[in-house]
Formats: sequence, structure tokens, C-alpha cells
Amino acid sequence: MRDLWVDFNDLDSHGNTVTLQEFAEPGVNLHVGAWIIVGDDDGNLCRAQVTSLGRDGTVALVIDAGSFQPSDAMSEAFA
Amino acid sequence: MMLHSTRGGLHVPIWRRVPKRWAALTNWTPRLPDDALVIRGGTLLPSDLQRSVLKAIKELRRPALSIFSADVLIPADLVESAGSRLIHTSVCLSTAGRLRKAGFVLEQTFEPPHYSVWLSETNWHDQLSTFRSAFDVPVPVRTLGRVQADPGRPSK
Repeated sequence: MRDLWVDFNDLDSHGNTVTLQEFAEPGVNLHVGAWIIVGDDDGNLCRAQVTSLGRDGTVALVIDAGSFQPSDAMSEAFA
Repeated sequence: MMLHSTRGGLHVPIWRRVPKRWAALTNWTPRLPDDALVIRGGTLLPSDLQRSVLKAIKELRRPALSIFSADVLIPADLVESAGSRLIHTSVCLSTAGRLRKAGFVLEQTFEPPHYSVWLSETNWHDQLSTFRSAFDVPVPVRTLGRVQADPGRPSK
């Protein structure tokens, strides 16, 4: 279950990315330093740490690429 | 006169090499040729595309979608170029020409091979299905050495 939606196409070479605070799941408390689960609607999931929260509603994250888990549906389709 | 050279085992026409050398000297970004490969990670779900555009509007002040593209003909070369930025295990393939033919403008943004596909500020919602139809169906990244984007066939 993800905490926050991200687009994994927007990573830089250090794993940094930005998304919007409004894409957090209900009840998720975003704060700087928090480790959360990010994911997309394909079902891909990854651990990430919140690095900053913008007043404009953005949230910056650094992705732990080693924890990336592709969606079950895609894994089965391509098995 | 030698019209082709070999770079990494690939034949690169001389008319493609000269702009790259000029770009290295001037910071000028050459226009992608129409047959340049394009990759976007994932399966292009409408809900993912919509959220990505909303994020771009907030971050870049313009509606846009991220892709990876480079003047290469072999998908595995583009995957290698994207490196750790391409985290997906499945991707959709297209070409710069297919996206242009669908009415989109590509611009290199952030670190290459990252490009932004700019969408209309007034009707970007309507353009999402056009964007999707400019790509082939998703394929596993591990098979990309054996797959080549169709330069003109709609995906569905």
C-alpha cells in the first residue's frame, strides 16, 4: 500500500524527484525526514525519504532505488 | 568520401555526428531526428498521466510529460543512457517523429536523455489519449535489445 503517488519517470540521477502533497493517501503524515512508500497507479512501489515540503504544495523526495518493487500484474504478464 | 563511421559497433551517418560535435562546443542542443527513439516507463495509465501533468503545471508552470529520448536506433542504448533514472521494469516505445506527428513538441529538459513533451495549456486533458496512442504497448525492459519501435503504427 503506497503513502504517496509519484511518477517514476521524473527521477534525476541521484534518485531525487518531486510530487504533490495532495497526492498523499488519506491519513498519511508527510514531514521532512519521514520514510514512506511511494508508488504509481501501475502498482510499482518504492521506499523514499521526504527531503522538503514546499509552500506551493510540492514535496521533494529521494528514492531508494534498491527497494523498487514492480507491480505484480506486470511481473506476471512478462513472466 | 566516408559517409559512415562506427561508434560502439553502430553505423552512425556522418551527417548525424557533426551536429553532436558542434553541440559539444556550443551547448547547442540538436533537434532530435524523427527516428530517434522515445521511451516512457510504465504502462501509460490515464490516471498516472493526469497526475504527472498536474505536477508539471505546479513545478514547471506548464503542462508536460516526461520521456527519455536520444538519437539512437537501438532501445538498449537508450536504456543505458538513462541509467538509474529508468527504474521501471516495463516501458512503452515510440519515436520523436510519431510524437511530432501527433502534434507534440519535445524539448530536452533537466539531464539528458530526459525530455519534456509539452502539452496544450487549454486542452491538455484531451491530448492524453493522443499521447498514449503515439506509443506501442508496454514491453519488459529486459527484452528491449530485441524490440524496435514502430515508426508509424498506432499502438491500439
